[in-house]
Amino acid sequence: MPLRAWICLVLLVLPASACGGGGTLSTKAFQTQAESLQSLAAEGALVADGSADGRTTETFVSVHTEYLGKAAKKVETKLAGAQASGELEEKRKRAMRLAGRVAGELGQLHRAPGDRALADRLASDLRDEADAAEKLAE
Amino acid sequence: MKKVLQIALGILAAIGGFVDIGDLVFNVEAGAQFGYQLLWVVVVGVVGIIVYSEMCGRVAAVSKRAVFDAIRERLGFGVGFGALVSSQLVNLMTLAAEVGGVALVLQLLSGLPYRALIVLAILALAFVIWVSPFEWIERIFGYGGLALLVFAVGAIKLHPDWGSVGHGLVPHLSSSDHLVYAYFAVGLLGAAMTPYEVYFYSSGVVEEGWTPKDLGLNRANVMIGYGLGGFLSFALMITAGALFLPLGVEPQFIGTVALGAQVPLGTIGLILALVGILFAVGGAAIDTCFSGAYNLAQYFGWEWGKYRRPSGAPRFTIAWAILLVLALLIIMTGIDPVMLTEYAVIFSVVALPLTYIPILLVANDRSYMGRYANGRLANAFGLLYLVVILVVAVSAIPLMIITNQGQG
Repeated sequence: MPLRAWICLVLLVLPASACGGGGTLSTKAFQTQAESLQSLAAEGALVADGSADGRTTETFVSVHTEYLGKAAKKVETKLAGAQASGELEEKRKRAMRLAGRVAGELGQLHRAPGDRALADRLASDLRDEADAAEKLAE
Repeated sequence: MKKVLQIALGILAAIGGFVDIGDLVFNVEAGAQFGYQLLWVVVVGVVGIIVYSEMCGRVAAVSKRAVFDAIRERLGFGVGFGALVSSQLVNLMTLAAEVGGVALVLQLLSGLPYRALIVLAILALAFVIWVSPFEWIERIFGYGGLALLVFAVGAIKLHPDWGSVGHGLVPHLSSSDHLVYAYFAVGLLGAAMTPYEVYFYSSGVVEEGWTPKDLGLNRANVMIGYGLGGFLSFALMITAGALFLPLGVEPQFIGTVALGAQVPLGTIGLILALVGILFAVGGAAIDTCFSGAYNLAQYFGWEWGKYRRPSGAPRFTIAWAILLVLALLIIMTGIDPVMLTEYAVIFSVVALPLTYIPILLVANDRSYMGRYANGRLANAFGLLYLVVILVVAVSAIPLMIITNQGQG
């Protein structure tokens, strides 16, 4: 195969493999998504704790939770676009719903970074969701 | 007394200027994943950059030639060209990542749109480079970077298990995830031994007119400056190990790094962390930009120098301006600066032998260096690190692919 064809092949295959795409979800790939979700929820809880205690800035809370929320949404989209069978399919659906909730709560923090009562409630919810995601990843 | 004060101020600036976006990303990610287990790699990396910089500084002081000048002169145009191209590519990736990092921190401080802040960051960097005397740039960004010491205070307040920290300083293999552990070890070495720092340092030695009489100063500068700078890397890794590892947080954002100071120290910790990151990454962006222009100018024999007015070294000035524009274009594509940093660090490890080997050969050449050529100790360290550098250079890309950039 000429060099140019090899380069084209690599350029086509690399982005496709990096995107993950739809298709069948392996246990390993599911675990990676669940761990990522656990991480995002746990980090969101840390940010919410700071907001609830008034030990951070509203700008930081708003900007950082926007990034975390987008990442949680990405996890949700990836899980929604994949298929699995048996027990893994059940776990996939639960993780997808969980990702949606985490993204939603991070979105609330992003929109109301100065609401300490809301932040207190969301910190607790996000911690629970981090625990749930950890169990799913096991 | 004035000389001592000058050295002390220079060292302070070097400590603050040691950390760049690669150190921030890899130290925090490694701490969150492996706790304190990889602290020993920071020591290996810091000793490596001391060995490499000391040789480059000595070659520059004796021959009055910085890295690419010496490489081209001693090893010819062809060999040098490969090293130049690879170094410039890595340099540009690093510069783009640093610019993206500056914009992200500005966003965390101001809440303004990221893309507008990228443009603002580029304009601010160009303005600072154009109008500020170099000593001011070095000192302001170096001292501003000292705000990163907040991570040392934060690390103490997080009450890490100091026994485990001590154990982490002893080289050992991981009990699990061997390949991911190896990937982070390679990344930490790459982050500590970033080549642009060496190009920048050796060019400074030539510009400041150091002679063989200044070799003691050269040794003290690299040992104390980089040695103490490594302390900040420790602080970042310990903070991440104490805070993020137990919670399962995998840092993916610059904001996560700052969270490491906010949780133990509150708003003041957060602001100091963001300001420290801003100055450290901003200073590194300027150093990277200058390094790229130095490399081109030295290789092609143009007039160069940060102390010259733009009209005195026009091609050098155009080179750094073009590098800034290219960095702007890369980061405006929307590429994630953290991901770009990881690629830049891994590729810098791959390219490292291309400049390290020529410098080791030149520093060892008695016909060129005379009595200032490498002695036994310098050669022992030089050869030991040659083996380390070759091993990590060969394994870096396979490890990055196999471990999916450390995600397992």
